[in-house]
Amino acid sequence: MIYSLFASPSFRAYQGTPENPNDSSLIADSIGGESIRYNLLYKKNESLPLDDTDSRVLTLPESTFSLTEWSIMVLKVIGKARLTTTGKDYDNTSNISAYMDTYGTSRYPGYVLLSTYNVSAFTVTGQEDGTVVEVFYGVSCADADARYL
Amino acid sequence: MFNFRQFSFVGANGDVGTTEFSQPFYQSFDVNPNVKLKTDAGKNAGDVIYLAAAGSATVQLPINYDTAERLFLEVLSEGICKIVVTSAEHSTSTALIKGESSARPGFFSTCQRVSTITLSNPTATGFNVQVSMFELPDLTDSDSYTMGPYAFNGVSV
Repeated sequence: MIYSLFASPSFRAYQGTPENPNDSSLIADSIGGESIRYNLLYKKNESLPLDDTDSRVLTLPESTFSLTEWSIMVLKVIGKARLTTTGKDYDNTSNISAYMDTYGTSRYPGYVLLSTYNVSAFTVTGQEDGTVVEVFYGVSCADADARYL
Repeated sequence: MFNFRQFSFVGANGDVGTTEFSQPFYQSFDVNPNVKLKTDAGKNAGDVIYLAAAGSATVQLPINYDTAERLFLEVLSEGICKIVVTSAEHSTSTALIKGESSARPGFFSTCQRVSTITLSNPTATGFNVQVSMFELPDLTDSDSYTMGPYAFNGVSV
């Protein structure tokens, strides 16, 4: 099954100041509309109820997934949680780890957004009892990817 | 003062050229556009940074940012960008952000007590990176919000 992914994450966090990057005509203009499309080969949705220190390992949705795949991830968090990734640096040799925390309430959920590659493991960890994490994640690809055509 | 955040991921099964018949498979419109998060002066910042081939840049934090508080950081990248964030919680966090172009940027966000942010371009081509950030106020405090008039079906009441 082949999907296209049309993403319009509207990062309209800022209002009006001249130095505001979201007022610029660079990336931000395209973010606000419907024009951004990520080719999506595979996707998954999960809802994870987590207490403090509870962990879940996210397994990307394809057994043939390789380290170099383009992974896209969105976490919506009510409570406190952390996304940890481990993988390789751009040189494909050095090990790197990233920690993306977020915090939110039902009125204003926290988000983690990530578009990455060279990641071998994704882990979500609760940092507060009663945290609920909704995860959307998938594997994207370039237009010319043979699997997408 | 900050507006809402909205995310909408819509899939078009098998047809990359049209969106008319696509079905959303991930949507999040949790924050009413008229609920605005307030932040204090000088506690937000943003920039568009050009990263030359093999270049790097240190991102300046908001001038009044209290590093004991959580900073919401959002990065969009037109190419493959390496981001290193140091913080009180994690000594060093390193991630690769994968983007292709301004039409298909890579994205990254985090919300932690940030000390430094460094961006670098490991590739042989220069590109722009957009950074937005603000100190997150107490989300459980109603004083952190401005409540505007609500709109139902396009009609403001």
